[in-house]
Amino acid sequence: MDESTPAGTFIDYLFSMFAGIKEYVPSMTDEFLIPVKWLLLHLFILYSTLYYPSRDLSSLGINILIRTKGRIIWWISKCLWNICYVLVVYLLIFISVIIFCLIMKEPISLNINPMFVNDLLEAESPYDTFSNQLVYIILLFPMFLSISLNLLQMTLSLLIKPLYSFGVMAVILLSSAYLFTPYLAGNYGMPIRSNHVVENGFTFSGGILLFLILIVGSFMIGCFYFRRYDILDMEENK
Amino acid sequence: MHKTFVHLIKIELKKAIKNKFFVTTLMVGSIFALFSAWYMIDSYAAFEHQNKVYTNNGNPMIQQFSLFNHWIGGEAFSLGYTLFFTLIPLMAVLPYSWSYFIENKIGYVKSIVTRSSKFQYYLSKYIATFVSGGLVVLIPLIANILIVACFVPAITPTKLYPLYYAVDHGSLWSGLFYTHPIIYVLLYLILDFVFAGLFATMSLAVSFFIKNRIAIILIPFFFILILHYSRTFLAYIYYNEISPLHYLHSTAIENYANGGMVLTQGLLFFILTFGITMKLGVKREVF
Repeated sequence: MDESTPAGTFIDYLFSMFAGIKEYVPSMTDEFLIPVKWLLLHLFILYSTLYYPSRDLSSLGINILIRTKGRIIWWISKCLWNICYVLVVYLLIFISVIIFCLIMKEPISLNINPMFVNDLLEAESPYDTFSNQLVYIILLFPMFLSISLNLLQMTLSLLIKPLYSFGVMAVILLSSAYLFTPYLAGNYGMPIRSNHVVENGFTFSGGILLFLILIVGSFMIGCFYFRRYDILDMEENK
Repeated sequence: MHKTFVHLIKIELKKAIKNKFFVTTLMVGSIFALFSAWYMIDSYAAFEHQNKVYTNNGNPMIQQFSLFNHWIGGEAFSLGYTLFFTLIPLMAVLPYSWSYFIENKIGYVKSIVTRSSKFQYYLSKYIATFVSGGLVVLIPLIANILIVACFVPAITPTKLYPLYYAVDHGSLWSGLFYTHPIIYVLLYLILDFVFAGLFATMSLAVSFFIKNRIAIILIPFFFILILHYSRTFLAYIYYNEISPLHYLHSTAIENYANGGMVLTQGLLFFILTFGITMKLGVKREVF
């Protein structure tokens, strides 16, 4: 390695994993390239939580529902399971990166290298230094995005088949990568699009607000719908 | 025996195409294709307008924009294109790939093999799955090209505008693109049909090993995405396209499509899926 090249830190590696892609400006001479690493990460988490809630509802869940006599409790338990699952996945990712840094003797620090952001991630950032808020965005926003989309997917699975629900999530993620808009949650899940990296980027507060709306909205809609949900019909159609 | 097989394949094809999953997926695929058509027709109209305003004299650059870089398989910058080509492996498996898993679970396989044979059943299942996966991708592509052709002229592309026609020397069927572009597009439609069919049969093959419907349907999608991601490791080493998500598109997106690579992957997918379905299917006890 060149002596002038600084070592990548723990947060640099996480940034590289969760970065996403910078804003795409459609042009006939510039093809859109999907951020496949970012997409795979989120889709894999969505896939791993797709089967369990619906399977549980059409098997053991019916007995639990009869015994506990509380549909809302069952729904809350599934939401909590979903959140815990995502937290564990991200914890494993963080631990893996720490182990990688230890093996490669890279510093385990939260200092972002501007060279790394501009040269490797090609972020074209006008900033020479990055605020601490970007560190929180890198650590938290991809996780919040996963939690929001997982809850939304579970709620949608009550209305449409789980596989179509997964398809809708894939469309949301792809649309987020393509469209640079604050109304698509995926944009906040790409730290490279933060206002700490690019001038017209998305704000921390905007991200928190959208994730809260998604999480609370999915939970409430799920609660409301699940109270009247025909579980026996689901059992027949499984 | 021959009559039974023909009857069986008719039943399988009918089941594969006349089901709500096929219709729903076809509708979703068509919406993506229509999104692309709408966007490209609009951008062509904008170009035409710009051309009238700014180019009173000189080269009007008519060949710069044509049907062959405006249909969904020729453009690579609309949201419709992004959704359609990224989700091809998912769309292909949704209509019918799960059918063997369900039929095996409910015991339908037993009643069929007693009336025909295992070989006939699995062969007809493979063909029906292949056709359903292929059609669900092919029909939106044809709809897109027909709609775009109503608004954008099919001018033969020229190498004078390489920025607008990313089909270079050595790329798959590149000679045809600049001489007989319609044949080139038809060949790509067939290629997309075949690969979508193969994606669908991947799920069929996977269903011999996995007993989870969601995993059966999503494994081919993840496999293709991982293959797409593996391109990262070949950057600056290998300059031909290895990802079906890119080489199923008629113009190059990053690397050029290599005929040998496409044929090798296609044959590998076919041998694996057909081999597993026919060998394991015939060998495995259904009772």
